[in-house]
Amino acid sequence: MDRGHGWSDGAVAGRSRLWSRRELLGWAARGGAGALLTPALLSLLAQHGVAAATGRGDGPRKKLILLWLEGGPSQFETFDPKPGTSTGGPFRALPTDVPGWSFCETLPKLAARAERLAVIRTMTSREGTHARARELLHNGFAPNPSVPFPAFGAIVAHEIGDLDHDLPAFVQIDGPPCSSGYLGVASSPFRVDDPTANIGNLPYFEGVDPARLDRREALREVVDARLRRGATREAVEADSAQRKRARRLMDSALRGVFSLEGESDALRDAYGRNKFGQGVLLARRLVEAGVAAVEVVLDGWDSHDHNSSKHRELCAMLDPAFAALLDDLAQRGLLDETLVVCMGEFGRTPGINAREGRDHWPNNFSVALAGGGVKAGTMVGETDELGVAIGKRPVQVADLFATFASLLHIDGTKEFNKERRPATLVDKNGIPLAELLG
Amino acid sequence: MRIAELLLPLAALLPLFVQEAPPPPATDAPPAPAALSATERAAVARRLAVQVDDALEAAWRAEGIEPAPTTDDATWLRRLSLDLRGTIPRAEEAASFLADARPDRRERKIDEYLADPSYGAYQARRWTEALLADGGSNGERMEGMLIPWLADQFSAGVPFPETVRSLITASGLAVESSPGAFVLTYHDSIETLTGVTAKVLLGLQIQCAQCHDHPSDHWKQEQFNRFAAFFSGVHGNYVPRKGRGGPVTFKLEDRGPAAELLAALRRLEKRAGSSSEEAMAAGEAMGGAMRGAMAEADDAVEEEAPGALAPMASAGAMAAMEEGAAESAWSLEQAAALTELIGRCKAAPAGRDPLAELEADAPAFAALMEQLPADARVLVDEYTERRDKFGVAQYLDGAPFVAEGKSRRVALADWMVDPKNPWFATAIVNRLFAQLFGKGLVEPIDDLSAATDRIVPELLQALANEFMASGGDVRLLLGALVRTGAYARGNSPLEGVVARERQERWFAAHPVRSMDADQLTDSLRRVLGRDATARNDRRGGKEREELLEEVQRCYGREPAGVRANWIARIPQALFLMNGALANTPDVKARPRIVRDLDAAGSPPRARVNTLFLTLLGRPAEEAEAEAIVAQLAAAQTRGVAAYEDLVWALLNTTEFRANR
Repeated sequence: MDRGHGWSDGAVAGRSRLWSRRELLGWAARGGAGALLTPALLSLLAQHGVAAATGRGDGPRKKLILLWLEGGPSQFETFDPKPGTSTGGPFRALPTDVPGWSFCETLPKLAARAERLAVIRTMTSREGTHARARELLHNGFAPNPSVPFPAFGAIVAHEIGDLDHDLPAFVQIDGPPCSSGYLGVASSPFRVDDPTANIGNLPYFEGVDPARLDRREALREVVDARLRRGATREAVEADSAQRKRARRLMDSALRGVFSLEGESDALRDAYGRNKFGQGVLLARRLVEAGVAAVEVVLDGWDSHDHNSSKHRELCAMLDPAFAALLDDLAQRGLLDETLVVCMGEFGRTPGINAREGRDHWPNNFSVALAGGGVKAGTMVGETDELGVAIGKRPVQVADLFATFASLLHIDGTKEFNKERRPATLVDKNGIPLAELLG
Repeated sequence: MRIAELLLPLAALLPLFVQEAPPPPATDAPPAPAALSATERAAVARRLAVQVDDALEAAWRAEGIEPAPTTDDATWLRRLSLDLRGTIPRAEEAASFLADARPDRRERKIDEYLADPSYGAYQARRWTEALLADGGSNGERMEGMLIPWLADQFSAGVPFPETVRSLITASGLAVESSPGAFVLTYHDSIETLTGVTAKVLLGLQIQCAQCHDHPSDHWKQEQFNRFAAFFSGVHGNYVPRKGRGGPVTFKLEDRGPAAELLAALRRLEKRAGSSSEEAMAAGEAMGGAMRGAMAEADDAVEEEAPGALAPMASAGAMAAMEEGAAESAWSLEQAAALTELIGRCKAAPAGRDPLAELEADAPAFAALMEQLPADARVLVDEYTERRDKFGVAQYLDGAPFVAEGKSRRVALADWMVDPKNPWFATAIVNRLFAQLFGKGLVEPIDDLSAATDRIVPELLQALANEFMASGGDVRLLLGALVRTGAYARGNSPLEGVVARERQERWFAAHPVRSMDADQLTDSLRRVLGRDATARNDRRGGKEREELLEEVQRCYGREPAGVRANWIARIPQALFLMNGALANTPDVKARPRIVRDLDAAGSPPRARVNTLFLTLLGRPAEEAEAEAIVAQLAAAQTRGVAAYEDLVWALLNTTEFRANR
């Protein structure tokens, strides 16, 4: 939790300024009200129509930005370096601004901002193949043919996003599309291929005004009506829903949010003039405009050969983008309400193979978090000297997702898919990591 | 005994009784050639169809499942056309089929479609998608090489085991259309190649076992490595063009780890040679014209295509060189050690481990390794790693590989397509079933041994036996499946999700799927008159590829794995709503009779019907036509605008995009 707005025993007096409404609401939304209620405070909050309980209340809705590192990033070359050992590879470690922590030298900007981060070094899973591991780390559950699990972004969109917004509640920038599973079409991700290009086919076609489009839709409905029953009903309804969302976007004053033209050159440079960096900048714009969940994908981490040069290249994109995002969100006062998660589907082997590569390693890998109420400056778990085993505090994927749900005030015990096989939003075996909750 | 002799008299009596499946062929008999005439094939297909229907109907009775009503001719035709040819029927085709009163009109259509070149092309795309799904870069080029070759195979009716044999054992130069594209796609990771081969062609998910023993299934890491060993030694490379504008050529061969090592060491020596003349001189003395020529050829590859298909062995050397780029000069000792190593490799008899003798004398080996330049050490490590990991080859059923004059890949192919192989035929037949019915008899289709979702498993086995008895005739099997009553079921009328899914799972109702990207692309081109140019000509081909890319962008390329039946995305909606294709239907393709939708002297219904037939493969219903004409009249839309509006409307219906 960002300690900048700490209370001193609930005393309002003695501070040099009043809290902004935003700060109050944010604090209330984080559940602070539960701890330090005084009658004066209660009436103050009531004036602003804030529910004193935890949960959404009327506080700013929380958001999720997932920086997805497709292919499985090496923990050695990122957040859990072991320099000078037989497994450590050629890079040095950089001390960070948190005493006792170091990151790999490939992440200098993040190292200078480590006190904003929380890092789990002991994520562990049994899934070592891309497809299955990707699903596990997106959905919080291993793939199961009887249950179409939704990606966590879709869960965020569905539970705390505004599905009636002009903008889709879940946007995915690059990467293989993830699914909203049993949550349905409304929380399915809107995929943006290239953050620097315009959204394809967004404007009305030349010669077609809204009235003409309406007439066309009416003609279409004459035919579609026939299929609004039985097995075809679901398909017609899904199409209808997506068309409505598309139309909403076409007509929205907010559609300009997808364009990066308005951002300063300096800022665009800071994020990095590459697809990923610009995608992360777009993610900031989107959450600022009200989108609940954004996933930005950076591919290429599957370094079975040339591990160190690949990681140097990729970190040279990740580091500035993630750092710029932290600075940007903090500056705009959005960091507390935006949970940023940075991870891939597994880590990489301590052993370096003969092609100078590291292979898949789900045994212990790293996840970095920031914002959203996470307790910054926290390191969870320790791996051993060579990074081949977990020293203390293994973290299951279920625990990680329980932590996300807790931070975002999502009730992970809600059941869905009841007609086929009931499933909870989050694996009920997961225990949120107390170290990370404020 | 020729199958034809058996079947001809029986064909006449088919309606009266069901023939039992012939016993699986004797294991030492070669598979029967797929040399049936069209009539014979049709007869066998009918017999198989009855077999499938009997099995499913018995299952429905046992499970208490009411099948959905049979579908109408128009829906059936569109479904058949999409499934077999990858595109919707033309308006004239649909109209004449619906007007055809012959009782065997469906059978004729089936045979017509299976003889169409687009059948081979579409099958090729489906199989290419599955086979190349886990490939990385170079994917498009490899697809471009594999699809035309597979299309020819399917169109010519080559027995599928032969096709698979070609894919597994491909070797030599690969130019424009070649089975080599399969192995080439994965040439730098035989683990992935092994995983894909097992998954697609044997229905076995063994790739998890490459990292650790499989959590739930029984595959062990050692089994995986020994199976992967069949592919070890595969070497793919890019061959420099002769002159300008020649075709891009790849070379695929079995080199064996020892030969790999030798080639890599030579490349290393040549590269560093300029800084160590004495080493070169020593090398030259040992070598000869052949070595020089090989080094030259290898050089040319590196110069021409530094980024393309890096040969397996040099990756380690290149990486090591990146790290120690400053060290270009070797000491005399190092150069001499390298030369000695090269000498040993050359001197070793073919197929023998060049390091065996050396390794036996541990101190001497250690000393040589010490003296070698770092890059060479890396190469030796890589060699020993591969040698130890993939030294022993063993089939998945536990039988060991015994050379007997066959190369590993040839032996693997033989083992896979042998009628005794318990996995091959069931995997293939199950996949073909899933192509037509949305799901296989056993699900998931690429993990048959661990699967718990099985519908009438005896049926799959029976069909698999028949498939092999026919010599692996894909056209026959597909022809049989589309002749079934099950394939003619309509979509489920049930409203309850669970009941409906159950009906669909038992093939008592046909699922509703969205067209895949290929089907949508080709259907759009047909409807909008873009496929007027021959499919294979350059301009038409390029246009098609561009449209396909755009469609794929809107759909989003799904990762290999479970695909939902109905895909609906916003970019797709935007494309069909606001894209140029949907808004400017090609003026030339406009049916000539459509000019003014309420011109006097011609009933507007006829025009509406034509558009319905073109886009949806059926005439408009009374109520629909009435409503449409009324709406257009009310809006006072005339001429081109009315045409565009109606085409837009039909293109944007769920019905247009559905394969149901």
